[in-house]
Amino acid sequence: MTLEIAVAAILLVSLILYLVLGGADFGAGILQIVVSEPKAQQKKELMRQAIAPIWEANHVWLILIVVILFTAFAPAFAFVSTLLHVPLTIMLFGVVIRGSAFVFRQYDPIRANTRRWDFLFQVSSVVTPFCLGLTLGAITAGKFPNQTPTHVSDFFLPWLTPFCFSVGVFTCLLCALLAAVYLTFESKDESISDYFRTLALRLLIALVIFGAAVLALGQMDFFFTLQGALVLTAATLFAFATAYALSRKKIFLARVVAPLMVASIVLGWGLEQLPFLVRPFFTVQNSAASEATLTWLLWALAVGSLFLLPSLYFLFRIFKKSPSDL
Amino acid sequence: MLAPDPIFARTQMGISLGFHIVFAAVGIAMPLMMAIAETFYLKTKDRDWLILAKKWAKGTAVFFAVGAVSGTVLSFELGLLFPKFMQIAGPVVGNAFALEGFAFFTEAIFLGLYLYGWDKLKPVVHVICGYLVALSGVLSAVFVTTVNAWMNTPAGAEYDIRSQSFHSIKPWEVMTSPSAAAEVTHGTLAAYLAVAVAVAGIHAWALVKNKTATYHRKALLISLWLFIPCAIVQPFLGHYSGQVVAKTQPLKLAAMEWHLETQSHAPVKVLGLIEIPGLLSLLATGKTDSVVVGLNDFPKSDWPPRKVNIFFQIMVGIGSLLFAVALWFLYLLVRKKEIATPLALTTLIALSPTGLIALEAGWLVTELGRQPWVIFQLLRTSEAVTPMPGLIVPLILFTLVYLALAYVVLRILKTYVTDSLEGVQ
Repeated sequence: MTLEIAVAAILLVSLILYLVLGGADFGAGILQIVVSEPKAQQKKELMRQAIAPIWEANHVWLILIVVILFTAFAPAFAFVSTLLHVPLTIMLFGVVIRGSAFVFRQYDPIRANTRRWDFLFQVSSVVTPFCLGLTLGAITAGKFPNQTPTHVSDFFLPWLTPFCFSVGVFTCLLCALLAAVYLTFESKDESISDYFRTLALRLLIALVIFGAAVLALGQMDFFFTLQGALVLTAATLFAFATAYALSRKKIFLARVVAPLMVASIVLGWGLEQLPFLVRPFFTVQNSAASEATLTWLLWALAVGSLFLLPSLYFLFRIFKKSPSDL
Repeated sequence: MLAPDPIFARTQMGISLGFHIVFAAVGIAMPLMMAIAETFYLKTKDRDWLILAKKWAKGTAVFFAVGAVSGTVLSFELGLLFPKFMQIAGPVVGNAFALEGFAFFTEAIFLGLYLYGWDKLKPVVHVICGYLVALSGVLSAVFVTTVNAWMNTPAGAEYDIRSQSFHSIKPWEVMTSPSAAAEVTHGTLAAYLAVAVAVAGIHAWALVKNKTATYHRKALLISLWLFIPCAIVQPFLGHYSGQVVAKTQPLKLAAMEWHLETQSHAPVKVLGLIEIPGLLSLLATGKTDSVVVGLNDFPKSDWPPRKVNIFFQIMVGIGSLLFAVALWFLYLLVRKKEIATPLALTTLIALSPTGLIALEAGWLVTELGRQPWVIFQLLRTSEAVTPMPGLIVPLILFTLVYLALAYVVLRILKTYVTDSLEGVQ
């Protein structure tokens, strides 16, 4: 395995971890919009409590992804930052408003502001993953006219497509599903647990339907190859496993197979993209930095992970060991 | 074809950074202070220290979250606003950013544990988490400052002008560039100093309103003991920074002092009025007869803006004032004199925002003083900016969002402080 493939693999793993861990945070915000009576307030409070200790840490994966990109694959990063300036900027507004609204909701002494912070948190929880999906869709479809932009339309056409929008919705559904699955575990109250369980099942069905739409719109031949078919099968199997686990109330199993399903979906996408980082101009090979830089980066990532992973494990152990009494 | 004016990109980046710096400084210093407060509680069992730790933790949580999201914006804005810079410099400085990313990651993890683990963790473990937040925070600052230092004194990589790319990159030398030691120490201490002064002022105000508030007194003690050593050491670090700039970026030094004519026995002009002969040469190199290069030796297109001189004087003025005040408070504390006198408290209240003002001013000196370069004398800012048109739109929108955030944060902070005037829970 060459250095650049190794770094690209780490990039993909980081994206998977971001979605599997941080995606649920977005999902919690999205679910707050749809959550219904009875006990709607309690459910929302459960969601807040579930993500409060971990959300800040969960979203650092995104920063790591950006850093790995501009260190190891700088030309691709520069290109994406230039051409996809608009969806990325909208996503950033989502990030800022979301984090601020969440912390203000928690710490603002004026209770009357609660609804405003909730509203901002919920809207931005939809906008952020949607724009992330738009961006990923754009680099997959690769409808960039030139490497150097010459017209204002160059900044809009690549992502204003049905395919990109479908990827955006798909990403939101993914996040919502993960949140619903995790939340099933979070409460000792069985009626609340059941509520999220059934919600998760419904979201899973929606996800599968939308996934098919994305594949159809994307016309991705990759999934007719052996590699592609295998990954698609794995994702489908995990989806069935999730459905089974949810319907049979096997909550621990659901918590394991749902993220595995997401991981296989993202892996499938990654393999489909290879060797491209950004279609049609940038591959892993042609945008890679020098061997020295890649080696140093791998070392930095290794050393960093040595501190990070045990700390992350400790965090989740302390807060996700058992459901709350809410 | 598409070649927008870099002013919008520069302004947006500047506002984002200027906003973020305040919250980052709080995220560096406050965790240390709250961990110290909790340590005193564990040692003395005096509940005041616990109340203080918890209240400071609440403030930290709010500032940290806003700092985190504004930091996320910055990591993207590097590419959104200056993609050419990132394409060229990304492989060079990326490793420092990666290390900063990991430091920030652990900071977020341990802050989560600290804020929400009061009842779940053993007290010793809990307070250690607090110190780990503080340590990660300062490491994060150190790593990210080495990147800025590299932009001023690019080292550890060879630049090919024709292909506009770096090669033979040596990451260790990149992180230990000639101005790294100066920037890292001076900048990091500035964060502690600015926050200590601000917090001291807030608790001084609370004490003025309520003389018997015991935990505000304790808060004041911690802030003062952080403020005093920082304020005393900082001018010396500033002097060292000046010497480094004189050697590595003489154009910047000339702009800082608005020194026009190259000469030996170069004077320092205070506030444009008082001239102290020979002082600039002495400060820059340790010898009054050394030659200090003047702005007129460089083409006007390479001059940094005049504002650099104004911000420099603001920073030095405040730094000198804080130095003097620190000595006074040191005297009061060592001599066990009363620190909650009306004069002392009023002074602290008045000085409260000055540390942050000096921090911003100093940062503006180093950033604006580097212009028109983004990588000093290798790449101009105007060459690095994005071709994306209409940048005035995100500029206005982000500015409005930051203003709104600043307003809400200050409002929440104010409510916390006024709510706490009883001095009791």
